[in-house]
Amino acid sequence: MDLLERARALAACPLFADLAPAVVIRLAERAHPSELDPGERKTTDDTVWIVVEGSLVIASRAAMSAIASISTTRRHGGTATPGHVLGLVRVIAPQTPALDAVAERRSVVLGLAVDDMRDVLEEDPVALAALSAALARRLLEATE
Amino acid sequence: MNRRAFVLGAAMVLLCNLVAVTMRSYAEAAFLAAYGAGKLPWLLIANATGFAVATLGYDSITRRASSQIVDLGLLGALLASAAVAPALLDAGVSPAILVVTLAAFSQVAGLALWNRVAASVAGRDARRMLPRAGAAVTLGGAIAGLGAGALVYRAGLHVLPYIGALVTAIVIALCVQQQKALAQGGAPGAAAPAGTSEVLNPLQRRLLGSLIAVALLEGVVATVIDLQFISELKGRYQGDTLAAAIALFYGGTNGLLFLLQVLAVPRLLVTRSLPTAAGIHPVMAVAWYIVFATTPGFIAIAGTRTSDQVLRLATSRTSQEIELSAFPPGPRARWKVLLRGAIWPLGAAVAAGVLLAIGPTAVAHPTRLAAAAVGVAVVWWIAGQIAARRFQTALAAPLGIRAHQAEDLRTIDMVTLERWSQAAGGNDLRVAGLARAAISRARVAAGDLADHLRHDEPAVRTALFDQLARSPTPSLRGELRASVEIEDDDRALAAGLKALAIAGDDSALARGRSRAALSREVAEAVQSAECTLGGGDLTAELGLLCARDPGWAVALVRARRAELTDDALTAALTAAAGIPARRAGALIVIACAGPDATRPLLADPLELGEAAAIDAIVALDAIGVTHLMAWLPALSSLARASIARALAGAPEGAKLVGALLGGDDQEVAHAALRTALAIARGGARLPTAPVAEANRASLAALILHLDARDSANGWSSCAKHELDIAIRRCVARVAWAAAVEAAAGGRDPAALAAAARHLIGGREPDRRRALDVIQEIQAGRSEILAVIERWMRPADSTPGTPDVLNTVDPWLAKLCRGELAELEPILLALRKPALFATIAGPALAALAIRATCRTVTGQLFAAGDDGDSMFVVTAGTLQAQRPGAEPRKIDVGGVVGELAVLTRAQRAATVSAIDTAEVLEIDRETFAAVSQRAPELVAGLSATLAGWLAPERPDVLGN
Repeated sequence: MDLLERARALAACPLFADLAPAVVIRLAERAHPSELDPGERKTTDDTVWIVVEGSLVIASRAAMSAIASISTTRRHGGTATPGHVLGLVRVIAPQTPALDAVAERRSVVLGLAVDDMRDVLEEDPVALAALSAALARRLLEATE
Repeated sequence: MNRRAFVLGAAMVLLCNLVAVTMRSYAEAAFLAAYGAGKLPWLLIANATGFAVATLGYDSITRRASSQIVDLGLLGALLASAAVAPALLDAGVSPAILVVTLAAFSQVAGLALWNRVAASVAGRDARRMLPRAGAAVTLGGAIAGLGAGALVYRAGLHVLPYIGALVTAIVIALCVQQQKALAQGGAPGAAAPAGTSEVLNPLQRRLLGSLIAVALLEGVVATVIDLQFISELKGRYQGDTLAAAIALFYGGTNGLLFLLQVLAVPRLLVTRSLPTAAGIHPVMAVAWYIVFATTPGFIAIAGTRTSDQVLRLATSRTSQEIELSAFPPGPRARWKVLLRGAIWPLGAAVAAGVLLAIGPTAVAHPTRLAAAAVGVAVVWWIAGQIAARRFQTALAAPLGIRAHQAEDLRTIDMVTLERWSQAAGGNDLRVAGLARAAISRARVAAGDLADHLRHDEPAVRTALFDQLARSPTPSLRGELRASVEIEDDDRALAAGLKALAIAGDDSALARGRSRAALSREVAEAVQSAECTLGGGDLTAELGLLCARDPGWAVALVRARRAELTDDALTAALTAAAGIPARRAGALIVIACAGPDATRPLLADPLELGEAAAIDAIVALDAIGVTHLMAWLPALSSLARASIARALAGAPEGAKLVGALLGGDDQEVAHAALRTALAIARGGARLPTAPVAEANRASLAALILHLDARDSANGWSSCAKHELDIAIRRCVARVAWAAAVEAAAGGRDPAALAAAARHLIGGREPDRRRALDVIQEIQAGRSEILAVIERWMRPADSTPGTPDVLNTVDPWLAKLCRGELAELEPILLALRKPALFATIAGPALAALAIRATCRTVTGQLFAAGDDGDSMFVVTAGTLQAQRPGAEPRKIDVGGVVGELAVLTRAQRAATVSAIDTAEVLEIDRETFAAVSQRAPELVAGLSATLAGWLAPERPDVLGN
């Protein structure tokens, strides 16, 4: 994926929809794509993952055993599909449990180091406001 | 650091080395007297092997038993063997056994005791103090060497072991006392935090591999030097004279080492990065061997040996000590012993074995041997550099800092450029914007566009015409004219007309007019082009362009500025700014080319953080930047800070950020530096003079705040707290300024930015590690490290005035003088929630002034109510009751209703006071206004929301 493709993948996330193009490009410069085979796993320990293609089943680390299969993971969490961002809450609230995400089928994700993400949020109040709004929406959904 | 444990430890290792040197002098002299120089390689092998075996034995025993008991047992064995050595020698015991035993016991004891000293210091204290402990060791060696030399002449060789035994008894007593001192608490980081893994991670294992290689190679070189030196020495001296010469050599060497360890090494280690310190020893070995190769003889080899002995302890061992600090405490102590006591001797033994196999030829051809040693030393230097780099990586990794190889966007190929241009000219405006930003980032040279102006794809042509409209390029004028003349796509034609008109070229107007009847887009472009070139109703067209194409509106104003009076232009732009559809465009024109009278039209919304005003700053082109720079002195601090933040998204922002960096205003400087960092990370070069000025100013501001801290005795707790927060913000600025400077030097500034974050917000061990990381990244800026260290030390406050803050932080100076006493209770209350914990004092004061104090008895609000404000509890307790959930108490410092600030959702819970409570009410407008000034407020709110979400919901955000 070249820079523009990575930027388009990021911009496809509703969470990043309000960011200025220059900011998305800055994020895209730091993002690295990974192709995942079915069963391949990623964690949000120090990386934020953006799902570009395919789907991943997710679970909180605390709810999973050391070796997780897709079926056991599915029991503990939902499914992340293109446009979903994994691990972003952890960027601003480091006490948030890390996630495991297992590719359900062949998938493509973009990884952003937590520190890179933090830098962009600190540097760009608009990005920060967009994230806050997304969190608020999410919280409202959760309380409905 | 644990000062008592360190001092006792230093005394302990001093005396232990005194014993070691005394015993080594005695044993080596006995060996040489018995066997002669021909057996020297055997002596080296036996010594190295004995040391290695003893170390492995020590390692094995300490993994099963308490190291405290093992260490005391080891010292007891050393005492016993020293006391009986002369008797054993007289009884016919082989001197070789004696040499090996005494050397092994004394050296392993030295390593074991050194670990105890190292446990009393950590971080930069370790860099500063361990060389001094090393100086104590050296002093012990010097006293022993010089003293033994004199003593052998007066009383004979046999008195040395008895002195060794006596001093060992003193060491045992000190060891017991030092253990008691360590039990009171070691150094921060010397003990593993609960739950820390003692298993090395992959980065640490890679570092260990390098350290093993370095220790082996160092041992090899040292052995070759030893052999050549002792051979030369043996050729010159015999008998007691030889023993005295050896002792005097050790004494002199240790004297030199002592001076280095006291005067130079601590400074070297706290001001230079590790690759520099670790490289000195091998480089000097090579240099001295070159001297030896050119002028062989005793002086040259004595210099080589002296350099090797001195630097091994002065720089190599201390570098190794620092590199091992990246390990967890258990493996750190274990591998310190193994590297020095097993791996290094193994290298020495292998080298001695090879020399033995070669036979006398090795000594007979000293220059060939020197050449071989130089070859090994070069490999050793390379291994040392790799180890130091791996240390830097392992040190930074726990803080989440990773090396990042940024993609060089300037190397994009023509196919990529074509694809991006196609996207830039496409119908999807979002993608087009991204593509334009990508092309802008790649800084494609105008000449590269020429081949594509007649591209088959209309979207590509449109994008390229549009780019030439934004960046007129005289060298492509002819090519552009020819391309537009034959353009058959309406959209591309419109873009081409614009590009030519902005360039002052009317050659395509006829072509445009011929198509105008068929295409509204072309008709509008023709009308705007005609106006740009001098015709039509200028102010009417300006209004239209403000809505349709602000960039062209800016070009129109610039093209016909001479025909417009300031009053006419001001009136036109004021009118446009009052029409919602034209407002954003009008603000862009004002930012790029507005007359002075329009300044308030931009400044006021900037102070309020209006999105259109922020967008106007983002849209600035190079000329617009120059225009706005002239306005900066007349703008308020709030407006300038707002500009500084907005420039993070502006492609042409570097110069303007540079202009904002140098001022005295703390809020503006803070925002400008953060943005400068964002711009620098993107690869843009900032002007060097303002960056240097920002470095100087940020450091000066921090020093003044620290000076104020030293005078803070007697100030209110609110003032002290605000001062502490202001200092943290100064520390961040210092690190950011260093990061921007690093970027200007072509290095990735992200690591420094991340280190700054840990420095001001991390736990104590993380802060110390962050400081180490900053030293490794930012070597050479010792003044920065010194000031940050000053901040990390507890203040020793005396009564004084805050006048030093008058120029750099006038608001804080007033607060510290007690002039804002009426505000202090509210400030203290607002600082309690994490939400407001880190924002700048003046921004919090603005919030405090606009917040409303309320006394709550009974219900504050009910579930389902409309809400537009949040509440901070300042006294008493509230209770929140969600339908179907357990009630939740909110104590002092708690926040309720924050969701309503971000959304217009109804209240999710009913909140009432338990008895009576005091709250501060903050409405949405107040929060929005202050968060423009303090983006940390939004970060805090996000963290609060995340805290609500995190315990129950997976960290997945989506549609």
